Amino acid sequence: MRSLPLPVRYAVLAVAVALLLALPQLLDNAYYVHIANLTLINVILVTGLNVISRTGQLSLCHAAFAGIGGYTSALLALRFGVPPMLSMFIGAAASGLVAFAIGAVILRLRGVFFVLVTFLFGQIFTLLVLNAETLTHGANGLVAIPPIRLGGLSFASKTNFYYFALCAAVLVVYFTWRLLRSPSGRAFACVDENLPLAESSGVDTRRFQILAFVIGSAFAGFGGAIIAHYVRYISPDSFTFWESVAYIVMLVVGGRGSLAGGVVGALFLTPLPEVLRGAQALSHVLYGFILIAVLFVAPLGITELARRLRALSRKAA
Amino acid sequence: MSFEVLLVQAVVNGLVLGMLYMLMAIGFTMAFGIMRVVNFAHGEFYMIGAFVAFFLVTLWDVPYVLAIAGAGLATAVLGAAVERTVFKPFYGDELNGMIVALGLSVILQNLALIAWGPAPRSFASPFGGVLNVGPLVFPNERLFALGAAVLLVLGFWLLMARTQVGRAMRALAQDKEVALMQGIRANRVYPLAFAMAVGLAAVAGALMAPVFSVSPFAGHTPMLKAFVVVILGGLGSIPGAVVGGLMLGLIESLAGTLLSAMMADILQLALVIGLLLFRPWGLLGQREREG
Amino acid sequence: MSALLEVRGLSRNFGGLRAVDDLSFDVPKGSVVGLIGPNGAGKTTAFNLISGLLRPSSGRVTVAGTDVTGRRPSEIVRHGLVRTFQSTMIYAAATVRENVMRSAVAHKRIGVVQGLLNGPVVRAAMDAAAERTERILEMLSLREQHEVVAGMLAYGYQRRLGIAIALAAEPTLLLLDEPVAGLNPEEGAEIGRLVRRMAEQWSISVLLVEHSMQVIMGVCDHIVVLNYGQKIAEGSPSEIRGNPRVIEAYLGPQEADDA
Repeated sequence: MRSLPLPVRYAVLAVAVALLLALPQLLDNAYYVHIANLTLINVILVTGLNVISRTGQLSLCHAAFAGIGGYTSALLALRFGVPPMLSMFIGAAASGLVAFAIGAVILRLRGVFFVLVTFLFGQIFTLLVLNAETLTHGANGLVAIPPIRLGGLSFASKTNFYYFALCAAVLVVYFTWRLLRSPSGRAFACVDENLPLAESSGVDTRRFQILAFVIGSAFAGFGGAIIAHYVRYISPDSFTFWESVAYIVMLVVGGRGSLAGGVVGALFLTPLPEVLRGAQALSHVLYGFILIAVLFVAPLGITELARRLRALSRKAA
Repeated sequence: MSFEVLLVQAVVNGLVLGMLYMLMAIGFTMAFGIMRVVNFAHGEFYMIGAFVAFFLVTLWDVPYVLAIAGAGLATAVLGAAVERTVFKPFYGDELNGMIVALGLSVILQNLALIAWGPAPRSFASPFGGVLNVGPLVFPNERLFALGAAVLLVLGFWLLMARTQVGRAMRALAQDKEVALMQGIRANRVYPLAFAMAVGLAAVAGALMAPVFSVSPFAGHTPMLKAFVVVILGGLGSIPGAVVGGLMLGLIESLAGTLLSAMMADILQLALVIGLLLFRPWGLLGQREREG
Repeated sequence: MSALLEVRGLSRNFGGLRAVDDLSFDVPKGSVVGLIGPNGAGKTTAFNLISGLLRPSSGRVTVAGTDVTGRRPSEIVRHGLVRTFQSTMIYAAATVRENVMRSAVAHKRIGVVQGLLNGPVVRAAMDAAAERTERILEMLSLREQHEVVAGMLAYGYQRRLGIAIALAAEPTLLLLDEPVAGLNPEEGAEIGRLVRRMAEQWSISVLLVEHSMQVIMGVCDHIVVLNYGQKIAEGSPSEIRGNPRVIEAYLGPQEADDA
């Protein structure tokens, strides 16, 4: 993009925006719009994971934080009639708070330990949700979750929801973009690339590790809440370890080094299980192979690969 | 049944469970201690061991004890191959090594699903029946599993303590640079260590197959328990894995018998959380201070 | 008038080993103090204790009147005490300029929300950080390499970069851990001149660990000598040079006196 002259860039951007806005009409198929919606939700979730990975951490319980947001928001809406437009943000805040509580304790541990504990926390979450039956209805899950409304407008239909999800995803990505370009984003890079040096040159590494973890997990909570009010049914099965792995695959394959990575990953990998609906196990095997292949060939994902190819073509020119 | 009888049964069951957890944890912690590999696919090797034993017994009428050995060996060979191809390129890159292990776990579990379907299968252990000691009743198959596990752990200890290979592994775990300088060939020892680690998991799977049954998802819970044991006993510490494994098995069995299954789960996780808050390097692990 | 750095009774045990034993000394404002001793004397441990990388078993460290004993390194940096490392510590994947910029920006301590909003105050702080970065690169003759990826630099340049990163954190007290190790005599002399300039012109006091006696004798106002974790002597370079205890500590298979 950067190599193109300014008016051309604006034209490309305008076309892209127009396409995005007209997508539901272009697709003209409720099922495809549904896939687009799921993709947008995954963009939010994977972008959250991207933020966490900026300090070199790996969260194996990202889906659990989505679950905290989802259940909190759904329960507030179902039991206390809180409008979903508000309860979504409370759900995100709940995830952020829990992330803060956990992070403050375990981020002082080595990277490996941290990852193990996030895995365990994911299991704890599933266990708690399954067993707190009076609150969460256990394995049966929550049904008839109210859809999101704004004024008289309901975002229940797939097309309406698309526009809501588009706004939400754009906001999340924009916020993350601002965050990563800010001094805090620079501090994230310091912590990721050389933690002892960062600490010894005045960067409060604990603070920034916790910050990244909290923000990323709050995004997950936000995404989980959106899922709850879109699909309008959640259960412990919606937020398992395997969902967390799926988000990791999307991030790694899309690209950890750049913000676009989350978007690319979600774009490529969300439709896959839907397309291979009949052969779910096969699609998972494919996931696994793609993941390992990416780590061997281009550890920083598709976006890195694209950058390398562009650099090569520039050299050849 | 009187309380004492219940208690003793619970303790013995706890020991059997503990042995299983110990075998899983030893392998897992070994891979980390020697090669800094966090093998998220460890549970899948348990599952593979269970399936190999199942097929050897049901399809080829192999005697159970041989089938266990066969499962262990076959999985060990697979493990060595996996270590050289998949894990070796990521030594020194812990984070990506973990992600690779995750990918491997997904592949193995789903390949098993495609090949053998999700339905659990089982077969009867040749050690049917029970042992009656006064009012106490012990299923023979569990006693056999317990005995076999004890022998295995003893053999493992002998290997680590008395043989050259074992010394080499311990040297690498303690200080890789010094060990390499002493002439220890990491490229020979690593695949062997990994093979042993997953072999132990496979044997655990084969031992528990008649007790718990066999499915592609069978590895998930043992993996979870291994994590818990390793956090209890300290990552990289084999004595920790032994002590932690037994502790966890006993806690689970006693809590499950005297309270409820749910309480058992909660207690275990509460123990882990408590430990992480106050003693995150485990009961026997190494204290590491972040800079 | 109290000294900039006051170390009192600093000790650290490792099991049964006393790596640092009841160490006390001062670094007055505007001076260069050398910390020397044979290998294993506890110099690096002392550095680690003072800069917060290690918790002392006992004792006190005071910087400009504030007790910073046992605090985290990033906190101690905020009080003006910054250190460099023996093994080169740089952000290998970033450019030289970015390496220094990171330290300069971190020192501005811009809040998360503030940074997101990017108002005029923030922009001014960022400009100041960029300016400071340019000046430091100039001072350390790194301006030409400012676009080079740090991992590609020659060893001598990497060590200078390490000092540049430390300087960007606006220290009043700089702890240099073997700054001339592995450098040729020319580069070493250059560093020596830089250290003097820091103390005399830029109001940065320096505590220096070095094995090169040439640098120590030429650069330091005051020298503290350690052996087996204990202070065995302190004084001016000429006093230390002739001190029999010091000579005795260095005689033997460990250290060749190259003064």
